[in-house]
Amino acid sequence: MNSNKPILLIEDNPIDLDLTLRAFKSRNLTNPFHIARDGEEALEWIQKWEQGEPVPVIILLDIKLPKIDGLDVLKAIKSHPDFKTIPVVILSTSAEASDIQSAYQLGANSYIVKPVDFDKFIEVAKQIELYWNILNKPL
Amino acid sequence: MGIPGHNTKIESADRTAEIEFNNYQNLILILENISDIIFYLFVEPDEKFRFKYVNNAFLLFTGLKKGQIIGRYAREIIPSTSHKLVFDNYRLAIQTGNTVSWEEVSEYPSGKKTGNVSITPVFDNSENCTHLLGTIKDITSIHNAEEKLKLSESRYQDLYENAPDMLLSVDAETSQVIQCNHTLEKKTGFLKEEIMGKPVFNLYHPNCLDVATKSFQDFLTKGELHNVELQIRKKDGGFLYVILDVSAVRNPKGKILHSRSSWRDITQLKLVEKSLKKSEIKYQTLFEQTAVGIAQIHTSTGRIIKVNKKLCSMLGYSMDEMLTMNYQSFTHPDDLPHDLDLQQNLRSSDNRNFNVQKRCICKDQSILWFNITVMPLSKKGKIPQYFMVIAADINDHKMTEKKTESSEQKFKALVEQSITGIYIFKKENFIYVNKQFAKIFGYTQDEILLNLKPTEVISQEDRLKADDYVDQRLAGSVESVHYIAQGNHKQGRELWVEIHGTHVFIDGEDVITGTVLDITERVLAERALIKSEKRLKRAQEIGKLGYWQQELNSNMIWASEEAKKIYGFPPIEGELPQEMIAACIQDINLVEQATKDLVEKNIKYDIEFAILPADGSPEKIVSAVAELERDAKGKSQRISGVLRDISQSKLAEEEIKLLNAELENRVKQRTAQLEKVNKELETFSYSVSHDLKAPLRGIDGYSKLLQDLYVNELNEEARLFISNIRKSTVQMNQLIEDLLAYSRLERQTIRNEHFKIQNLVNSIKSQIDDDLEIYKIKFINTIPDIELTADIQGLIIALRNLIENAVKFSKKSTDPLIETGLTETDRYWNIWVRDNGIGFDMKYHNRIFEIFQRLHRTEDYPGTGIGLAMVSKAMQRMGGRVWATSKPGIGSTFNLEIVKPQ
Repeated sequence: MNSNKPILLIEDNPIDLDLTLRAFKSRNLTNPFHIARDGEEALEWIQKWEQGEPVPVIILLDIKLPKIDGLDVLKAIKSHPDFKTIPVVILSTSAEASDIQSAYQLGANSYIVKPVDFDKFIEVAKQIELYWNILNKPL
Repeated sequence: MGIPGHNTKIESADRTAEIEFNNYQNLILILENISDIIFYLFVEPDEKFRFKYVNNAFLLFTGLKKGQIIGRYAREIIPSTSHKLVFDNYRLAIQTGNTVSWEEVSEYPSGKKTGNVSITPVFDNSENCTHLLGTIKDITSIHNAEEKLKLSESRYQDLYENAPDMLLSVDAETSQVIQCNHTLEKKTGFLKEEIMGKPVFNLYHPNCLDVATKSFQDFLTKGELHNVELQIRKKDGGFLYVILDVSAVRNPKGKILHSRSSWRDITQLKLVEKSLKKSEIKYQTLFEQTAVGIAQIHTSTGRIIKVNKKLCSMLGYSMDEMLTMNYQSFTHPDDLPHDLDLQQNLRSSDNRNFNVQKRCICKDQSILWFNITVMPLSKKGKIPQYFMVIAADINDHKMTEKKTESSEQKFKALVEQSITGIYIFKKENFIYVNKQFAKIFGYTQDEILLNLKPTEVISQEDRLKADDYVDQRLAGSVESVHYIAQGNHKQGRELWVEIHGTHVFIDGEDVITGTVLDITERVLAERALIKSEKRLKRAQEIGKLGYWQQELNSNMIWASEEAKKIYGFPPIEGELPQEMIAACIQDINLVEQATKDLVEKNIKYDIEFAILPADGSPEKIVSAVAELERDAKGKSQRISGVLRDISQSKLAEEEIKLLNAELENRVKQRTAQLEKVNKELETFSYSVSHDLKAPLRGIDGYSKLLQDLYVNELNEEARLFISNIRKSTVQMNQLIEDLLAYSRLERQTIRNEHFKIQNLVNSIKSQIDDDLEIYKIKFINTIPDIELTADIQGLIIALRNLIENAVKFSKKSTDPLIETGLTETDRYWNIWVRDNGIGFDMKYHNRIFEIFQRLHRTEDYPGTGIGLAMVSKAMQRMGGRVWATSKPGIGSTFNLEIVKPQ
């Protein structure tokens, strides 16, 4: 596991942000977390990567974001020639079929409905970790 | 007035002369009053024909007065248009010595007249033709009716079929009959199938085949034929006399395609003609054989104006000599004073006939006794300008009596056998009627003579008029009348008669004599024609339907009254020039194109167009439908069609269109509003799911962290509190999830699909297999393996909720059992889900399907109260319904009723 590479977490809700971080911490992950609190900040990260900042190993993206919508952020990443290969996992409270469908159409690698139960939240963190592991296995 | 006679020996006998005189008087009366037209021409050298006698009927026919005719040349009286025909026939009669007949149409002061003329030459002893005796049968009304019918026939098929004449078309090349009417079938007894497609010559009587063949050749060269008399065969072996009239139907190049022929049945007419001819000969014989001399004498001077040969020969003078003399010059001197007295009496108004016996001195100075009958020639009450004398030689008694008797018999037979009804009556009773007269009214001659008063043969409606005519004539204010009345038939049959009647004196008595013709058939035919035309007209009026017809080779358009009304022309049937109609049509190209398409490509002519009526009324929209009529060879002949004023319905149509557009607009607006509301609702539900859930995650997350990280610092009660907080969040989460599902159901579109219901239920069951195992629930699915058509998504939601409910409420029963099954009718499928759970009281039946309604405590049976509301909603949306039967402690059965697609 490449512990140097950061994870980008895009989340506006402070409680969700805190709980997510705690859930990952409980899994003893050492990767640094980069945070974006709205769509605008998320797009700023793309510029930073272009200027040489380390590119994240995975992006966790909430759909419902202030300023710029999460789906637009997804579009920007997935249409970027250099960064479109970064795996994006959607973390959303919405289980609406229409949301899920548009996310996948825009190139999301996974779509996870945020559970209310914290135990299940930790389960999700575990799944993401596994997923991330599989993705980064050397060929 | 001269009646020719010939020499006979002159002798004397009083009695005979008297009888003879009466006979001749009757003869003259009949001649004067018979409805048949009789005239007598003197043949002069160089084919000059001078009128010597015409009867009253002739005057009626021509509208001329006697004074304008007698003594004048035929050339001056007969219209010049008929000269060639007439004089050719006169010549023919004289050359052949036979009677010659023809039909003649002439313009007289009385109007255009059609007559069947017959002429018979009269020869003297040296075989010189001295006179021509002519008769005319007035067939004007028949001819006119025929013309009128012909016109109508072309327009109305039924009239064609039932025309009074036999109508047929004959192919010019094959001489086969290609069309014929019902009248032909009726009259001949042959059926159309037996006539059509066969040579027309089959129908002719063998006797006239030569004429028929020649006529057909004439027709092919001239293109028309008129008044050819032929005989045609009847199926029963008899035959009919017909007059053939033919016109040609040609193609545009003028080639004759076929004939349009009519056969007029003149069998009856022919019979009349035959008997009339007989009677003419008899009259002639009578004149020739007469034993009396006749002369017309000027009352005041006694000059001989006219004299017959007989009298000339009796007295031994030539006719020219006689015409220079007066009667005094050959009266015996002894009788002269008495004669002069009588002559004086004649000049008074007492114009009775009288007899006198006197002596005359012949040229050779011999003396002869005559019985002279003197007839003043004047109307009653006026001084006669002339008188007629009939001089009978009294010696020749026996011989003359015999001859006269035979003459009288012949005359009587003629009158008796005439097919014209003849009558003589006094004011109160009939004196004489002939057989035909009685037959017309349905009686025997005796019945009429004995039982009926004269005007009783006239119907009640017309009797006053008839009585009035009788009075007028007897009073002398009118001499003769001619009228049509309804007859009073013995059997009550409808009867129409044409009556001629004249006031005359017989034996010094005022009587009326005349003729009666049965014209019922003609009147009925005319009436039927009028009625049928009226009906058609009315139908057109009611339907605002005009009828029109355009011959392709003419620029005239025939239009019905209603058609003209639509176009704003005066409402009279008839033809109009095409340009006048075209001027009213707004888009003439459209109409012309339609006509062209119809004629050239046989494309249906069914158009609507705008017209500006000729009378300046507002614009109209009309619809016109037309068909092409072809002749038997398939050549286009004419277009006929109907025209309808559809302005009103057009207006209504426009209005409906406007209303529809408005409605559509309103629906669009409403739909937009609804869509907006739906969108808002969607956004609302979305927000609820996200924004309500986020805080819940916080509550649960931090409770869990508290539980995990500080478990040792919390006492038992605090740990219970945290546990309860976490249970509440789970419940709250479930509620939000269910609400979302419910609102999602609302927003989902309905899509009918075919699916196997048994498989569907099995797949839902497989999702709860764990529960079934845990609670040891037995699940029996009896649903057959059939296909349903329904909104499958809605049905899945309904069935899953019902099955989950069944699990929830039966899992605590002993031997829990869930069953599913299906019944069906013509219109519905009914899927049922049964359990042996706790059941419910049926009084809550309707409540359980409402949202948030619960019958049990949450700690006993957890739930949000949304499940059954969703079932109900899902069923409603697919047009079905849900209902349940239940008993507390026994179990429940839920039914899903689905409407089968039509």
